[in-house]
This record gives sequence, structure tokens and C-alpha cells, in this order.
Amino acid sequence: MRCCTASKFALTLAAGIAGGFMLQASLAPSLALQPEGGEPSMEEMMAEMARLGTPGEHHEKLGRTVGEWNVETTFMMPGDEPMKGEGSMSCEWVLEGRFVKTDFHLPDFMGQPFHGIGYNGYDNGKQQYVGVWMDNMSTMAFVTEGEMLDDGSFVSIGDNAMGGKMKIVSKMDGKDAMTDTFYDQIEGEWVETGTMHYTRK
Amino acid sequence: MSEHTDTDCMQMSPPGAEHERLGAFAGTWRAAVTMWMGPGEPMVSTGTMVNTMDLDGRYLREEYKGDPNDGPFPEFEGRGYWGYNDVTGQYEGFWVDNASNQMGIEKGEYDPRTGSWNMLGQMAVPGGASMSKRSVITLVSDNEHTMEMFFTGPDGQENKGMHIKYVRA
Repeated sequence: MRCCTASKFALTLAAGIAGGFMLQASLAPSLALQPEGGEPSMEEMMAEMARLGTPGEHHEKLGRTVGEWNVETTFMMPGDEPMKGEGSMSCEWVLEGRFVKTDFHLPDFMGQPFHGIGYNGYDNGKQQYVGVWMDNMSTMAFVTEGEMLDDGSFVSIGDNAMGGKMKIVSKMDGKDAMTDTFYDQIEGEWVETGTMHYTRK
Repeated sequence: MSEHTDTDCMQMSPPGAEHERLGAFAGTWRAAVTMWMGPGEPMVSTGTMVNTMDLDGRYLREEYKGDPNDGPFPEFEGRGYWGYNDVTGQYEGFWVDNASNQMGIEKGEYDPRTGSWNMLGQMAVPGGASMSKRSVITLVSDNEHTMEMFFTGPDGQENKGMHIKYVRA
């Protein structure tokens, strides 16, 4: 029975789907994971995959950053004056509302142009915001799990390069201004390391 | 303050030989995708991958567009970044596409004996479980590479789920 359902399901998919690496790849093995007696019908499985793959209200909340921004940065320098910088950020929806892509530029960051690229989305299966950040000052991508708090703060946490955690708290001030505050976890305490103030262009 | 200035810190992760190795994948490629969904004939689809080195040589940026088709994803699109993390000493790949909301993350090593990368990750499946995924990426020649994807179920058995052949366009 289990085998029969599986093969019927696979054949239907094979006839209907010609693209979609992740969906196809994740459906095929999942057939083997269903507990005896508890297997969902083909229709239920298709509906579940469709639900998991569709952007929803959580994705919409990420849209608040979409647009063009000016940014002023302040980084705390131990034993020294805070270091200030200026630049720009561009955020856009990609993959049909599933991820917000960020391009971040500081023309002069310690004498070098800084370029960062980020992707932020919401995984309906994990029920968690997910993100990745990469830039040209490091080879270590910052992989984050995020949470939207009731007060409207968006909190992202991931591993930093020192074996600890880093946290970014992003708060809107109206629709056209926002602030990211950066923290490193040092001996169990969150220590603020910098802020970025954004104003919409 | 130590003798390491902050500027030193910022410059201590330049791209190296591991990143340069990814340059072999730069360019435009035609993809032939074969996918095994279980018993019966595999599914076959085609598309184009455009790969570019990004962030000053630290990442290979991948942009895939499936050829238009009659399936539920007539305009399949995906994008990925593939880099080498100097801190962990591992290659890392990130992948997102318009067929799911997941962010795929794979980590692994390059094997100079085989000219292949062996990349490991997890993939969520309906019901909240996850299963192991292994991708093997092999440089066949300057103009051809392959990606094979394997899945391991709870019984510990690994099955090949996908094979993509990329030929330089």
C-alpha cells in the first residue's frame, strides 16, 4: 500500500513537474519517511508542499526594508573614538516574494570599498526567519536565524568569527527610517559594537 | 591595543587558492537535469546557469533559469553562492529558489585526487523531519562539470536523487 501510493505520487509529479530542484528533491525522499498507517494522501502532500513553498504574512513583514536607503554607520573601536562611515543600501524582492536581497555599499571603509550582499527569507517549514550575509572583508558568511518581536524589532542571531554569537536588532522609525544595532556576545553578555542608521532616499 | 590594528583584522581574510579554484565554474553553462523520483523513468529538464565571481573573488555567484516548461514551475529560477570559509576551513554553499522557502546550506571539502567537492547538508521534508543531503560536484574538463545529489533516509541508505550535467555554452 505504502509502495503503491509512493509510486503513484511519483508518477503524477513526474508528469506534472519539469522544474523545481528543491521541491522535487525534497518530495522524493520524503515518501520513505512516512510512518506506517499515517501516510498522507497524494493530495495532502501536494497541498502541504504548496503551502510550505508559498510566501505569506511573514515574508511580507520583510518587505519593510525594500527600497533605496542612505546609511550612516558607527562602529565602536575599543580604546578609540567610534568610527563613522557613510554609504547606501538597496533592497529588493527576488524569487517572487520569497527573499529580500540586500546590496550594501560603503565607498570608503578604512580606506577600502565595502560591499555586502544579504538574503533574508522565512522558512514556513521551520517557522523561522532565515538569512545569510556575505561581504568582501571576510570569507565567513554570517548565517542567521531571525525573529520578529511584538515591538516590531527584527532580531537576527548567528555565529561570529570568534567562536561566539553576533546579534543584529533592526528597528523601524516610521516607514522611512530604521536603525540596526550590532552586538557581540562576550563572556555571556551582549555588548553593543555598532549601529547603522538608514534613511529612505 | 595589540599590534594587530583593526585594519589588519579587516584585511586578514583575502581570497586564496581555495577561492580561485571556484573560478573554473565561472561562465555560462547549459544544464541537463535528470531527477529520480522513485520507480519509473527519471524526469529530465534543461536550463541555463550563469556563474560569476563576486565580492572580490570570495564567492561564485550562481544564477539558474530553467527553460520554460509546462510544469507547475514554468519559470523555475534559483540562485546560489559558493565560497570557502577561512575560519572553518570548509567550502560553503547557499542556495535559494522559487520552488520553496528554504535556504539550502551545504558545507564540505574539495578532494584533489578526484577533482570533486563533497558537500553535506540537511533538507527539511513535510512533517518537520529533515534528511541528509550530499552533493558531489566534479570538474570533468574546462568545459564540463557535473553535480550529483544524494539523499539518506532514516534507514541510512543513500539514494541518488539528481544528476546535472553542465556544458559550457
